Amino acid sequence: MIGPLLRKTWLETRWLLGGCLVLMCFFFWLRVWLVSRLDSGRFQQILELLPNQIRSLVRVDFSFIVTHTGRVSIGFEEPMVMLIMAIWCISRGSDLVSGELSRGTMEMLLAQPISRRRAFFVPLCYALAGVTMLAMASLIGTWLGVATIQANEAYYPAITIPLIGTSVPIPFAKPIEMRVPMYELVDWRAFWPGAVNLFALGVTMLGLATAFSAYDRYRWRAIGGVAITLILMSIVKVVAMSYAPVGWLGWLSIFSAFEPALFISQTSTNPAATWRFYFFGKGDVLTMSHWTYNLVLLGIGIGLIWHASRVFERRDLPAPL
Amino acid sequence: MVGQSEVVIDVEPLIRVEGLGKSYGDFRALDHCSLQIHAGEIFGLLGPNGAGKTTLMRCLLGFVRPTSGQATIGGFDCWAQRTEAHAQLSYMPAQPQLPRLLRARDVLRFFAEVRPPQPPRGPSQKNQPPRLDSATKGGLTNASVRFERACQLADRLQLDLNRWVALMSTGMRQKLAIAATLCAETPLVFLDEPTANLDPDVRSQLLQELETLRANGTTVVFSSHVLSEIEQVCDRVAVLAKGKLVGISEMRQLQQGSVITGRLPAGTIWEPIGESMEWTAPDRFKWQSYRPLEDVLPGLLSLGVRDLKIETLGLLDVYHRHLAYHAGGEASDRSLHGKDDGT
Repeated sequence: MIGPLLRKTWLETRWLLGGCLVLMCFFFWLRVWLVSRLDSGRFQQILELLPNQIRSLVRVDFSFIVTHTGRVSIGFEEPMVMLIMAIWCISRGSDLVSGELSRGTMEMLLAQPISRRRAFFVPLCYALAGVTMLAMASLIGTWLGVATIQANEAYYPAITIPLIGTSVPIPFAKPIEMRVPMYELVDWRAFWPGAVNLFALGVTMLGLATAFSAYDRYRWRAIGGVAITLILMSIVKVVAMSYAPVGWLGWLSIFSAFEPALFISQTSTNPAATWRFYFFGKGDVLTMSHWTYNLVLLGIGIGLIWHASRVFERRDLPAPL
Repeated sequence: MVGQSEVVIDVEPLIRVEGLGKSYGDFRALDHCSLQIHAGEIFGLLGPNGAGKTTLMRCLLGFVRPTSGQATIGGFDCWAQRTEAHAQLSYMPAQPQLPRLLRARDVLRFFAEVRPPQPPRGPSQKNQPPRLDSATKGGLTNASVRFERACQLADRLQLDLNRWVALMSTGMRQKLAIAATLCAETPLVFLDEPTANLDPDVRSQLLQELETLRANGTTVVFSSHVLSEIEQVCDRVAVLAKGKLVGISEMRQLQQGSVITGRLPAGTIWEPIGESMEWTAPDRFKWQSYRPLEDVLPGLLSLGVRDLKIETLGLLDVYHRHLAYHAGGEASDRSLHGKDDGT
């Protein structure tokens, strides 16, 4: 009985899933291409011009951001990435209950010998598989970019000091433009914490959409509810980061736990952060690792999904309008 | 009402409804409804809009939780054991909606494959012989055989299986839903206004399919506003009004029912037992009888009846009389009512 349900869900959503995967993959490839076009020195100059208020919004060390790896990692925080993930999660989550109810297809489905739990969890597992694939698509896109793109790098001619053997660049000389393969500058495997964090955010968004869907009979209302909640949470995060006295507001936003660039920088610069829930960072300060943040996101998402399934199993199914 | 010549059925009913009620806030959609439907019956549900027909069906299908009472299908509780109950039945809603992004063939395949090989037998069916399914092979109902049967049915209904559901008209979707519903060959079929959007040819085809279901011993619960269809296919009919079950009638009795009017000599004392008799004038009577005319007429003639007029009693008359009785209007024929338990 699981097979036919999975097949039906696949047939209904294959174009959406395919579109999201291609878009995600292409975006990360494009992101690597953009990074390859911009000279590191110029990028550093741009960053230095940023006012302190803007700098306070960036939790990653600027020394990491100016590197190729750092600049590619910022791609995980682009609104486009969150938008693609949100499109998939909200469309699938809202469809689970309110979508089927508003279309009127729930009746014939649940008149079959399928338990409500199964009718809920099979498409949900499919949606979770989609979230996983989207997170992997971000890595695949990055890998494709790193493997196929060459970066423009400018090198100043250097002179080697005799006896000491050290090379010193000549700043007044004309820089030498060189094409360097991105795989020599960036290791694509460094981005996995970003993909995992993106997956965890996807699970949370899916849980939120599912919870709204389980209560409602109108899909548009469920979508509206999730969209407004996510927008409010992103505003809350920005406010909490911008103004220290209301920093506690950050606890109210799931986006506070979505810091892929930070986690990529942590694991790149501090191997102790890779497989631990906490580590000692700069100045021996106890710091939560990406696993802690991801567990929080996953816990919220799974909790919401569990709650939605309980609501769905017990609720009356209204007659289609 | 159970006729004198009728053999009393001593088996557990397939559907048992006891004091079923459903309220939405202060609104009572279904009010203490009790009935029993036996295997092999084609049972009609009649009533004006908002009478509670759909709510009753939705309670039986486990879509809504009853606020009072209980309903069982094959011994399985319709709410607590709805998955087991669903294995016994197939259902077509009044306006069937099917996955729009699938082709008709994929829809039929889904409905053919989603059922378990053989429905579990309910507590009330343990002593009954297993129902023979034409798609049963070696004790298991084969999904591919079921799919093949659905395709054949769709072919008979002149349906293009390669068409996307989204591009189908309402009538075509209805036909597809019929094929998807009937391919399961379950012991029980719920049809909620199945002919609403069908052209006359397909409508008569569907009624023929119902006759086939009857021949196979399938129980059908059939809701429709078209009284002629109910009259044509149903064995019994229940009338609902304002959430209450106001009457259950046997179609066979209705078909031999008649309204007899006439005049009797003054002073004649005559009161037929258990049937509706009304004196419209001291010597003029109006009698609604469900006995065969050959049993009734000799007695009447022996009493010296004059100006005799006999009209056949149709389902519409019964329907109106039930509703009028419930509304507290003119006196209704109490003999039409079954026992409280609906047998």
